[in-house]
Amino acid sequence: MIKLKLKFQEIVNNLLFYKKIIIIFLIINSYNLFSQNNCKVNYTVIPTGGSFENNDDVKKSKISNRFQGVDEALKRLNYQLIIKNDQSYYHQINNLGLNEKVDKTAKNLAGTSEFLKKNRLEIIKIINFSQEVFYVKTKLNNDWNLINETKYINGYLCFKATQQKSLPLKKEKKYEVIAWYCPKLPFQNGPKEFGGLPGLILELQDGRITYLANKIDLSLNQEMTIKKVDKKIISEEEFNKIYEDRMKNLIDNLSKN
Amino acid sequence: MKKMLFTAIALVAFAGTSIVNAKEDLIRTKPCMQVYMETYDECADLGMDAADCTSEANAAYGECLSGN
Repeated sequence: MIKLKLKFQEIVNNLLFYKKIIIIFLIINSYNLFSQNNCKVNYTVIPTGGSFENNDDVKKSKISNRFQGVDEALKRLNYQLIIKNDQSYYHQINNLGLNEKVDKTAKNLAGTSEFLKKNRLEIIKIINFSQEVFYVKTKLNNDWNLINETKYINGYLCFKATQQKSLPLKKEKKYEVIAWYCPKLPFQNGPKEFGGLPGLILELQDGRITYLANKIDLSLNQEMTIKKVDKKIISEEEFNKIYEDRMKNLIDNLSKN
Repeated sequence: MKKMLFTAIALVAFAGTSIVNAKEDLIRTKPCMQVYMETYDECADLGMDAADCTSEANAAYGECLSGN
């Protein structure tokens, strides 16, 4: 009887020991899960609909000849989004131009500006204009429509979301932006100024250009540097004023006789 | 932009020494100004922002000036 009691006590002790181990394992695991605040994503660029050059509107454009070869040049572009805690930095990462002219056009089409997100609401667009760099505070458009459509991107299940956006220089013209976000990757972030969805944006169709995630690095110990704001941040209105003044001066000078 | 600025500065400096030559230069540059404006406007229609439209228009202007 005593032996049986001792055996029972041993089993209980073993169970308590394993319970402790399981609890420690769960704590470590949940710590890893919740400390997953860092991420590095590379985006490749593809023309929306497969071709920019053969798009009807582009073919009708008075400057369609400027876009010869741009489809291939777009595919050579790569952008990177670095997310570290609440901050992120989106920028172009390669500069491998085979044909300088068409590569420059491709870069202009896909966007040369960089984006710093200091938190979910504060977005700074870093604009290189007139041989000067401007840090311009940009508004986040969080007005997404969540659509019940899914597809897999890089093995991740993604959901569709859309929003209306105006052309930057022709506000009266609107178009639909389509984002595919992945709830399994809990970062409310994405390419350019976009984000605010319940998961990382792995594909963004912004007009005639689509940004597609082709490499997602979630390793916790990687070195990641977020660009520091080393200049005065100005509002969009202030930048527009500077822009208009410089353009006016330039055109006035050229038109003088 | 660099080329445009250069052209603008060059025009002003040139006008001081020879107005006739400056006018001739302006006639030569005006079609390129049209190229600049046209490129800027088309880029705006294609959804590019102010800085990228300017960069593209400037490239078109430079190519026009150099006869490419």
